[in-house]
Amino acid sequence: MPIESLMVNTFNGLYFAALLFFASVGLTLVFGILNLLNMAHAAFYGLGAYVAVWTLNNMGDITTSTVVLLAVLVLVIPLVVFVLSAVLDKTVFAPLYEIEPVYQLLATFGVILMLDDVIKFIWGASPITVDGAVDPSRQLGTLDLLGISVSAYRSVVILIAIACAVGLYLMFVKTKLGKISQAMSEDYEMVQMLGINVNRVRIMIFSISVAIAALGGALFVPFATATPAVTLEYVLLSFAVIVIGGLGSLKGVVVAALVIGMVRSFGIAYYPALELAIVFGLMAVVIIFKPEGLFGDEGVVE
Amino acid sequence: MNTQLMNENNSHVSRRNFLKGSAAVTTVGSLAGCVLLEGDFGTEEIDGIPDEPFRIVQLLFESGPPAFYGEEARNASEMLVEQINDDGGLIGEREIEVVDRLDEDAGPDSLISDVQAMAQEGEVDMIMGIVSSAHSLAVAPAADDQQLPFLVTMPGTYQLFEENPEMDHVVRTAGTNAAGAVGAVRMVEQMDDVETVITVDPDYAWGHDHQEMFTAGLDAVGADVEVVESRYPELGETDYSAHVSAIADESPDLLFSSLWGGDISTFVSQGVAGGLFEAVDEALLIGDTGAPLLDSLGADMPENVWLGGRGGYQPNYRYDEDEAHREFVDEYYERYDQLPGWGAYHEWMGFEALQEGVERAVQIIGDWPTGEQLMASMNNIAFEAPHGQHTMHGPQAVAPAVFGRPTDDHDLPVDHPLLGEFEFIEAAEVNPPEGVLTMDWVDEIEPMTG
Amino acid sequence: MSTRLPTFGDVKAGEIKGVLLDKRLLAGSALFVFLALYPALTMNAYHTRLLAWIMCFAIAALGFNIVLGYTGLLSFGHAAFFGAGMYTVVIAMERAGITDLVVLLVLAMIVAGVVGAIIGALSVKTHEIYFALLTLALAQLLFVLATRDVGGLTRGTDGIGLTRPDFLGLPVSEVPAQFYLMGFYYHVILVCLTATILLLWVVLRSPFGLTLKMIRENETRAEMSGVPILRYRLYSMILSAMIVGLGGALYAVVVGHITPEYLDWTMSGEIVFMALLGGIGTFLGPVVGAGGFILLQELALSVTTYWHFTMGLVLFVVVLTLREKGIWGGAKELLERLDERRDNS
Repeated sequence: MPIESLMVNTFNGLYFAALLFFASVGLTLVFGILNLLNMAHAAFYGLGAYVAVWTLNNMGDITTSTVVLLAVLVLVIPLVVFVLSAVLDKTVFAPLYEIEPVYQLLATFGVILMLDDVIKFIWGASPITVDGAVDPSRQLGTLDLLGISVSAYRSVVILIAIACAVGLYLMFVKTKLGKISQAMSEDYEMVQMLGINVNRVRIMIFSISVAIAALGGALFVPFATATPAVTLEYVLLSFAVIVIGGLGSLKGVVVAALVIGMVRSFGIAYYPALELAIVFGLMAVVIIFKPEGLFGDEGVVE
Repeated sequence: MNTQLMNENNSHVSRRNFLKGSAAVTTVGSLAGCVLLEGDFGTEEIDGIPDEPFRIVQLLFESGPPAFYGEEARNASEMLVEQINDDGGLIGEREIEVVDRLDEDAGPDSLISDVQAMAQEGEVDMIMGIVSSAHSLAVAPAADDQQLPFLVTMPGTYQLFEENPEMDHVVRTAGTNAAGAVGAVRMVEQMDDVETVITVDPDYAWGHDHQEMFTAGLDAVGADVEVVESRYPELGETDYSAHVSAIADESPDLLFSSLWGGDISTFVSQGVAGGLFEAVDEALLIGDTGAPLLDSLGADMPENVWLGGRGGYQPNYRYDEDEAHREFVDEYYERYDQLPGWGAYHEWMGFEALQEGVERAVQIIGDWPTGEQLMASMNNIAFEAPHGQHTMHGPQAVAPAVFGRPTDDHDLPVDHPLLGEFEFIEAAEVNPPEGVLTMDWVDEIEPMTG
Repeated sequence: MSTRLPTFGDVKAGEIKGVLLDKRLLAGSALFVFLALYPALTMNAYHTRLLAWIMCFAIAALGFNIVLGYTGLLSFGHAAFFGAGMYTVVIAMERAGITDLVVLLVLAMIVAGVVGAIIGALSVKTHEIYFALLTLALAQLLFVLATRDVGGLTRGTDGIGLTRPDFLGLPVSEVPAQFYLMGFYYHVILVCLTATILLLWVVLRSPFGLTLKMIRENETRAEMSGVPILRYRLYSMILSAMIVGLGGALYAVVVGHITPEYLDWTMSGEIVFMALLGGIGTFLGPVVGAGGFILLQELALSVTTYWHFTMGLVLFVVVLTLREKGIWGGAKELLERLDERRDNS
């Protein structure tokens, strides 16, 4: 295979891995630290996508400046969703922390169904796309990277994903919140007995996690289309990521997202017939041979 | 062995149909005779027009990814029903009422069970619609079993009547997917310098059928073209970049695709970003593509593509010449602030057939038709459509293929491109003759005449 | 994390049990007779079909609950067994020319059992969420095979239509469609459901069933008392798969057209939903759940376009308030409480 196509496929794989990382990192954190298996997690990825299309398309009259649009995607939307999810954590999700994982899974599947219709109620069932004038991926065009021409916007998304992963790592090892969270993932009751307000930590971790998923959806949508199918697709994909990576492991999410991203990108390019089976096949193989996932026995940031 | 069996089966069926047909003609003829003798011809003095409206239940996707197609159909039907009722209703006498809409997303189990309920309660005169081919294959035989008239308006699977040749309560006013796929073959025949093709079709029956017919058709007409690769992205795919870069690497002369709806829009926009349309000379996008795609891509729409498929369902196609089409487009645009897409056109054809069928039946029998009579009278009719006469072969419409190139040069009040340089390919060139199985025919099509 | 799945009420003393059993038997027989006569009494084809639909899924949900309710494993791959049953019927009829219903049903159960053995063998070592996702992934691979029409057996997503099977040499397939269901096929389903209930009643109270229960309640203890846990889990998967396959096979004829959708994970989700709605900690809950789910969905569909929301809300509320009791367990508890109050006053 020619070196250019090798590089293009690598780039595509990296981009897909970045999206998978956004969609699934919060899922594994919420599970690892808070013991909540939130099937509806990636539904917030879909929600972020819809909010982003809607916001961008309504910004056309105010400004079309790329910097402002990117700021909306990266800062404003995650912040709004952060607040929203803090409210949800206190209401809808609060009772879920007390029940078995199996029931968590099923109750949050109910949340997906509800969120699906909320999206349909607000934005309708038709696919919607970002208007050309306010689409940062079109505004930014392409750039030359080591001799290949790639989308500048998608490069930015990859960089944001890297920044986000590094930021999370630093948060866990440097900040108080991170250290408490790590302790909670190891022994929830012990932390509680130390007199720490676990509820506040819980809301922070939950909201940060959900906000990252929404950020992923927001960044995803200029280069794609918001459709009702996005939700379920990413629910499955994000579960594949965290199971392959090992539940509760930040490193696992990064590695698994890269593995799926690359295998899918090269798989589609060279063995297109396998496309539908790639993710499930990979998931099955990993669980069969390494039932706890690649890094499942380790803590959040080990 | 297998083919022979199929053929035998088929000739058997057509003989039965023929007999049934001639019996119907005789009955209808004698009835018409009586009516004529009594001097009651005409629609004004018909008794037996039921007092209550003609009740239709629509089957459409109201949720799930294909819902936008259902939405277009729903819009069009609301508009058309209102227009028909403003003129007094069917034959000016009986209003139409859409009493219910069923969400196809509920799945075939639910649809079939509802069909049974409707048949039993007898409060519905006809069911109409259906987007999904698989649903049409499941629901049509069930409706026929229950003797519930079913006007199928959208799905394209050529198997509907080939698998169920004896249905007499079902008609379909949409052309089959053969028209799109073979239409594409006809387009390739007219192109110079096409030697390599890559096909990209959604990974379900619609996509596989199109790919098979297109490839077989190219082979049959002896085109010097090789399909070098066939790709089947997942339905609802959100990231086509891996496909795009692989196709761009191959740089085929032609790209063929039956992706539709949100999929084709995502694919083309990611293709533009990945330089796909610089890498291929020409692209043929036949998945019911038209105004909505051009709207969503706007100025990004590449120029070296042909869009179209089964039917002339492009808002500016024969817009000036055809008054009915002009009114349809203008009214639709005024109501919904967007141009009609394929879902809307398919539904329009359905209502045209219904009006034509009722009128014909009433003229012949001098009474309001039963469900079976109504469906029979929609067989073998023709009515006006944007592409000229829309003809039914038995219960199945045969549509011509129409393709066009994106252009900004148009008079409609939208700021996105529409199509121009239209290519029209007659229905006879893109549909099997009556009684011949589609795949058998595609395997043996002749190069286009003229 | 530990799974604290349902615990079943202790079996009461023999005497009371006998009376109860009699009562239940009486009620059950009455219900059976009523259901058997229903089509003839009402001549309502729609209701008959709805009941047939519910009973097929009741069989599937009962079968599914062997794995979730009794063995404590959440499978998200049971669509594989349901679909295997369906496809076995249609492929055997079309390719092998087998038209006898009894042969078809047995064949479907065997094929579903084999699929269950394969998926089970690969997945019983894992547990909880891993088990759920592994079964999902493996079932999804089967879905891909069917969608892709591998081997030319399934005709892809357009699916395959189905003709009506005969019965023990009787050409029942030649009677009109309506009568076939109302006069014959409906009763086959009813008998199969009854047989399934009786069979499971016996099996789950046999040493085999008690061993499963022991594994679910305390895996470590079961292991220490020498129970080969993995083997028992595998058995439970195979038994479950066969019964779900029976449900699928019966349903294939009711629906008359089979597509890969029945193998998709959303189908697995529906079966899980049914069992849970009815109550995975009760014996008959899955039957009630199948009825509740289908009726609820039909009702929601007819009154609102936002039926996803309705179903989601119901699932959410049922899980949070009733858990393993489900609506069946909840109703029983309510009745008992009312009884107590009456006794007290």
